[in-house]
Amino acid sequence: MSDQQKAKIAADERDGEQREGTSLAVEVSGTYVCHPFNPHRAASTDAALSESANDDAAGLDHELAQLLVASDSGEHTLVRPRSAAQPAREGSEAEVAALEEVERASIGVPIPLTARELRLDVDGRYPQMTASGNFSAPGRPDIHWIARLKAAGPFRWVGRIWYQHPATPLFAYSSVVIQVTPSVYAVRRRARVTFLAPGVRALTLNYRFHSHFFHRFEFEADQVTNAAITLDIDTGAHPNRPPSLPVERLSIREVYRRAGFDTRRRAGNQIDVGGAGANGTWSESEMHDAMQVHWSRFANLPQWSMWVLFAHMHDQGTSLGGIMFDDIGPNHRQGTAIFTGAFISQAPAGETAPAAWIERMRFWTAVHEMGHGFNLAHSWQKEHPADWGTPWIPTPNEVEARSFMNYPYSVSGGETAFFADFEFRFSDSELLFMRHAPPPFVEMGNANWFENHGFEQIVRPARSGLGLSLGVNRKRALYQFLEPIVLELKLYNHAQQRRTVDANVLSNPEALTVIIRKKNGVARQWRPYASYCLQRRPVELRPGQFIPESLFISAGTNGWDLSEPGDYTIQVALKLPTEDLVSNPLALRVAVPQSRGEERLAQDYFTDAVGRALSFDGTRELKKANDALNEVVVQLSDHPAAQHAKIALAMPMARQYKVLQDDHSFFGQAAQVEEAGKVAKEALLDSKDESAETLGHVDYAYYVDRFAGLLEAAGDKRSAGELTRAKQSVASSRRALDADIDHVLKTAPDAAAAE
Amino acid sequence: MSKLSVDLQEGFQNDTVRVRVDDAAALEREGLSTRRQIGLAARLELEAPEGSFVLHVEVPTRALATSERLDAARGAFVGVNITAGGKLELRVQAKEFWYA
Repeated sequence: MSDQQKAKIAADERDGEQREGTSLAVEVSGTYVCHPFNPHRAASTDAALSESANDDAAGLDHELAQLLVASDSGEHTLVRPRSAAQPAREGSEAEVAALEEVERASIGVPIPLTARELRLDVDGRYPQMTASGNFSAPGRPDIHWIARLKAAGPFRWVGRIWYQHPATPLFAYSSVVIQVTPSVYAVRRRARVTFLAPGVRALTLNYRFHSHFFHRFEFEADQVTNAAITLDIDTGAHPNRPPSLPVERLSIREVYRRAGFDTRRRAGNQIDVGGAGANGTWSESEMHDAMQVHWSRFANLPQWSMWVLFAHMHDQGTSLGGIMFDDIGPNHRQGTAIFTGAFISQAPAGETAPAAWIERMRFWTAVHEMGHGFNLAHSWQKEHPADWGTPWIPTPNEVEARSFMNYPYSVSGGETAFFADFEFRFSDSELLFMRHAPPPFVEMGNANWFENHGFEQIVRPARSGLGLSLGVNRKRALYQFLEPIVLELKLYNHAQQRRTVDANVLSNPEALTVIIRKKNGVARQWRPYASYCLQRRPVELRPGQFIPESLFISAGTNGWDLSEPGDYTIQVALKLPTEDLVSNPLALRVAVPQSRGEERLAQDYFTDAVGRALSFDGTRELKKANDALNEVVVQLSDHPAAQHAKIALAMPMARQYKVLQDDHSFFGQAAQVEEAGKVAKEALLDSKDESAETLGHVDYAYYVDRFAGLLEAAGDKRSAGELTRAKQSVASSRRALDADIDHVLKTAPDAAAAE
Repeated sequence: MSKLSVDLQEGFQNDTVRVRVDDAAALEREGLSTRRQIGLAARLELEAPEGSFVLHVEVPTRALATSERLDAARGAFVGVNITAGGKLELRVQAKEFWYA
């Protein structure tokens, strides 16, 4: 043992003796690192795993068994709950048998995952009863997991893994059992974690205690010469405070230590603005420039480090007390500023303790702005539409929260009510994010401010075996300018058992959330023109079957979200009664205009009326829309947009069309089946493969059936037959592209009948 | 005339806003987006008549509009928010809104 190690142990023992001397219970929260001698999963032998399994079987208790049963849907072999009247005894035969049942169901596929860290959050300040951790896999991003814990005995917790990032089948565990070996000596503290899932080999790993904190963090507070600075506060100085609030000298550093961060404050600099002349206020770009010059730790890199500037006033004036100004450039959230010449230094008239009021507001503002640096939103911004940015998990607003991230004047009763209950802390949901979210979401300079909170990563792989797939009807997801974009969405059954689903579930926009993000732009939620309330129609999907649906997402009540040339990423979430599914992210490109004609037509084409005409398969009343669609047909006859335009022009002619008149009566316009059939045949027969590619096979088949039926009813059996044969030919072509589509088109809608 | 301060706060994303005082067009601004870290898109300073008047706020980019009868003597500071549910809401107070 080296001298350094001996010194470390001695220091730790002193720390332990001090804790014992004060009779404090041992706190075990903090960060643990995976023991280097752990047999990681790739190297695990059956013997090693069996040994682990037997050890852990000793603690596989009733609660865990219930948890496993409750969290599964019957497809796996389950650990059955033991009778409450027969409580499990440590090491009992029944417990061993229970775990062996899991082991027998194991698929046992070795995957080279290496465990890294464990964050255990069960005691100490503001415990969140949560564990999180990560695994690394060669050539892949780290896999991050989070579990909600329940106590299951002395220093023992069980819990379900509710979050995984990224979603990957590599990590298939659904529950954890954590047993801590407590010790007042930190170096002797250990955690043993068993990862479990029905049907998957259990994995037990040993971790050693590393730190009472969850992350390290440092900040540097620089002060402009004409500004004040507040880094700590007397919590008892202002009379309006919670009666139970400890009166103490509380520093910013200590606030963040209590939030779980091993916080250090670096020595700051004084910034002389004597040469600034009459311009004594600060703009964002001036602050960003100053950060690069004056912050001793500045780097265009993610790092757990932040610059805090105490300046006099922002360009906005006295109404801005501070700002996390750094949403500039590639590394956001590295810099914040507090303006001590703003309202935070102007106690309101009648304030009985103005000096204490000012100190408290400056302190609150500094911690608040730094909170934004940790990617924390305001308390009222957590529940918001996707075009505000993407949250890391769905989180309810906390408009009444007594948190550093809430505005005191915003709560009921205003500032007086806020500070009467304010305990100088962050809310639990904020602490959960700071301590347990994937570190890149939180670390300064990493994920963008209010972005990259990982919509695509929030949901674990579906435990039901259902999956959601988003694709295009072509080899490359490249769309021409003006071309309406139709995507294919499929709800798959990947399980080995049949699954009952609602056949209409993909047709219900209420259940779908479609996010469109243009490269370097903000995410927007596609908002369809109409919602449909459809009767639930249960169907059984056999293993491998899926339900297809087309999605026309070019336009909606937001306008034309995909009109501009560029690269986009699209992702869909589907809300099922029992779980949420998230599709793969789909990247597509919209090409630049190929002619002046396309550019000219765009002005009349990218309108709400044309969007509605295309979305609702045509109109007889929106004249401007029809004019624009006719122009596309005439001027861009070979363009994919012309195929969509022809369909939208033909469909309203194909049947008697009701028009609501000014006197609220309906007027029926006669069907023009012959003319409609002519246009439809142009769209669906002349270039059938190209038409199917741009309309999508689902819609192509629908339109063919629709027009073939109409033409046949009108006596034109020849044209109807031509259309039907074209559909068969297109389906054959599609089989070469994607063998399963024909299978699905034939089987999925009839799944219930076939059974 | 008195001064009326209209703060366009949460929920704006590349939006157009039109403000009228009684029947007179007062201001129109385009391309407004909320800065999330302070919860403010823009502050509009208007002239309002003494006494009672109706403030109309319209966000044509979202087909939203609302109006409220105000009295400059009771509150000259208006916060306009588009809620997560897609509603346009006004909050009126006598003190200046502040941000952080």
